[in-house]
Amino acid sequence: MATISIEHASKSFGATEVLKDISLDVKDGEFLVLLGASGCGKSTLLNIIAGLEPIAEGTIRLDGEVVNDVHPKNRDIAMVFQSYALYPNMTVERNIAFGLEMRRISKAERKATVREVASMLQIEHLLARKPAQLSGGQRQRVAMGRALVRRPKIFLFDEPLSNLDAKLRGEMRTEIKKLHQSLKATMVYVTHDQIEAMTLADRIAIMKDGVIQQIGTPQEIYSKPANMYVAGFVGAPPMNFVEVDLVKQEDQFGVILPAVLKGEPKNYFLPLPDSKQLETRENTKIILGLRPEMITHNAFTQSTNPEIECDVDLLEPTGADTLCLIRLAGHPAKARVSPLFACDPGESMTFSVDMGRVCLFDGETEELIRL
Amino acid sequence: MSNPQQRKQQMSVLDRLQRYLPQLVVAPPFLLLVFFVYGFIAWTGFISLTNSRMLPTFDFQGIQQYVRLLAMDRWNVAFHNLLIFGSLYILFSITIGCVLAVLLDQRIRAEGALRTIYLYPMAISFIVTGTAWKWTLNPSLGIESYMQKLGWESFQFDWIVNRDMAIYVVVLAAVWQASGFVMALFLSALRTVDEDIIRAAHLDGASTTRIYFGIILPSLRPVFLSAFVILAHLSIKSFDLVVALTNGGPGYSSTLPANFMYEMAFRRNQIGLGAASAMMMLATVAAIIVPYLYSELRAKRHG
Repeated sequence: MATISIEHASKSFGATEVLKDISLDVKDGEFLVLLGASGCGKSTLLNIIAGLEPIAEGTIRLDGEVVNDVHPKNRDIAMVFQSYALYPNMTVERNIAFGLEMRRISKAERKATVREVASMLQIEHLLARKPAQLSGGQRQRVAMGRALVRRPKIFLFDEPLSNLDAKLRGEMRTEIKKLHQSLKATMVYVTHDQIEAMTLADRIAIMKDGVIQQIGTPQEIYSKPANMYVAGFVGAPPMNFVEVDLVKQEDQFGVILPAVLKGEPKNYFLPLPDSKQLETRENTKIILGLRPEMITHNAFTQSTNPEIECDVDLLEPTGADTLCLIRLAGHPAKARVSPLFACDPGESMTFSVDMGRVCLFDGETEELIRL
Repeated sequence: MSNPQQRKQQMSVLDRLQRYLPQLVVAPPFLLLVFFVYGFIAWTGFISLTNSRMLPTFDFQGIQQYVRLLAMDRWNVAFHNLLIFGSLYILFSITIGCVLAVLLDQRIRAEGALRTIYLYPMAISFIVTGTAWKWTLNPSLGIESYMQKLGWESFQFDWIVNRDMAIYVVVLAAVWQASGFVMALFLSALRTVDEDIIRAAHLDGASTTRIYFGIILPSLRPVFLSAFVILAHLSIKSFDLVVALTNGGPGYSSTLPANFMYEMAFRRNQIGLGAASAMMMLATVAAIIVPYLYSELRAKRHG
C-alpha cells in the first residue's frame, strides 16, 4: 500500500509563488503524470513529495501519515532524475548498491539484489564500469536500477527520458510502463512531453503557473479538456481554436465558421448538438475547439456531419496522415486527412466536420462549456 | 592592366602568405622562448659542469660541483627545509582550502564578501606577506609581546627567532596566502557538481558528511591534482617570502634551495655551485610536472 495525499500545498521561492494551493491524491499502484511546461511547478511538487524541498503550507501524507517534516531517506521513496545523477566516482555496481549500503544491508545480500536488478534491466555486463564510460541509455538504466533496488513504496521520475534520443525514449517509455505493470507500485512521473504523459499515465495532472488545471485519465484530458490551456497543450498537432458567433437558425443552435473558398471569404453554418447550456449564450462569441482529426475528408465519416469546402494552402505529409493547412476565421488551422484524399496545395477540398466531438470554450474565461 | 596569368601569380603569393601567416606570427615568440628559456636551461646545465666562480669559465670538470653541493650542510639544510615546507604547505593549503570551500558551498549569507576576504591574500605580494608576518611574529613587537602586555607573562611564541622552528613560520605565512586560492579552485569545482547527485544521495540515505567524503570530493580528483601541481611548483620556487620573512635566518636555518642558489650565484661568486643547485631544483620540478603533463596529455588523447 502506498498512497500520496497532498492538501492545500503552497510554496514560494522569494517573491515567486511556484505552487498555489495544490491538492492532489494518488491512489495505491497508480501511475500519475504531472504534465506542464517548464516553470509550472511540477518538479517542485515532485521534490516536495520526495522531501527534498520543505513544504511551506499545507500537509502531505504518505499512506495517511503526515510526513511534512520526515527526512527524504525515511519516506521510502526512490527517484530517477533527468540528469541521471549517478555518482561519478563509483562503479555501476556501487551506484546501484549505495542506497542499500547506507541502510546497512549485508554485503552478500547487496550483491545478490544488485545482480537481480541488473539482470532485469539487462545491465549485468556494465556493473564494473564507471558512469563516464556509459552511453545515455545505459546511464538511464543504471539510474532506474538504483531506484528499483531498494524496492521503495513510491517511485518518482523527474523527466527521466528527456535527455535521450527519440528512438531510445520510445523504448524506455515502454519499459517503464512494463515495470509499472509488473511492480504495481505507486509512481509519480514529471514530464513536459504530452506523448509520454498520454502513453504512460493512469491519470494526468496538468499544471500551469503552480495551479493544477485538470486531473483526469488521458482520454478525459484529450476529449474533454477543462480549458483552452489544457486543450492546446495536449495533442499534436494542437487543437485549432476558432473564434465564432453562436447563433440560432431554424430552431437549431450552431456556429458561423468563416472559411476561405477560391480566395473569397465564405461562411458556413455548423449545427451544434442540442444543449440547454447554449440558451444563455445566443449571439455571443465563443471559441470553437477543433482537433485536426475532427476536420477530415468525407469518405468514411457519417453523412450527418456538416461539410465545408475551403482552400488548402499547404500540405504536411506525416506518412500515416497528411495535414492540410487551411484558414478559419483568418487564422491558420490544420486538418488531418488520409494521404489518398489530400488535394494539391492551392486547390480547394471538401472536409466534413465532426460536430459531435468539438469542444466549446467560453470566450472570456477560456473554460470548457460542458454540453 | 595585368594579364590573367600575372594575376594568377599574384593571387598565389597572397594565398601562400595566408597559408603561412600563423607560422610567421608564432615563430618570433617561439624562437625567443626557445632561446631564453630552454637555451638558458642548457647554459645553466653547462655552467654547472664547470668550475665557474665569479665569471663563467669553460673549465669542464664533470660533476664536481654536484659533489661539492651535496656535501654542503647549507644545501642539505635548504633541501631538508624544502621537504618540510613543501609537504606541509601543500597539505595544509589543500586541507584548509577544501574545508573553506565546502563550508562556503552551503549557500550561506554574504558568501561573495567572504570569498573575497579569503581570496584576498593571494593578491598581496610575497614581500608584503613576509614583512607583515615578520612584524606579527616578532617576539618584541607582535603577538608575544601583546599577550605578555595583556598579563599572560609566560606566553611564548618565538618561532621566528628559533633555529628549529623558523621554517614553520614560513609555512604559516605561505599557507595563509595560498589557502584562499585553493578554496576558490575547489569552490568553482563544487559549483559544477550536479545538484541532483546530492539529492539522489539524500534519498539513498547518505548524511551530508558522507555525501562530501564519499561522493563529491572523490569526484574532484582532477582539482586535487591541479592544486597539488600548482602548490608544488610554487613551493619549489619559493624565494621572496623567505627573504622578507626570515631572510633565511636565524643563521641559514630557514633557507630554501632558491635562496641558496641566489646566495651562491650572485653573492658569493660561486656561479658553478649556484648553477648546480638550480639544476637540482629543475629536476625536482620536473619530477612533479612531467608525470602530470604526461597523464594529462594521455587522458586527452584517449578522451
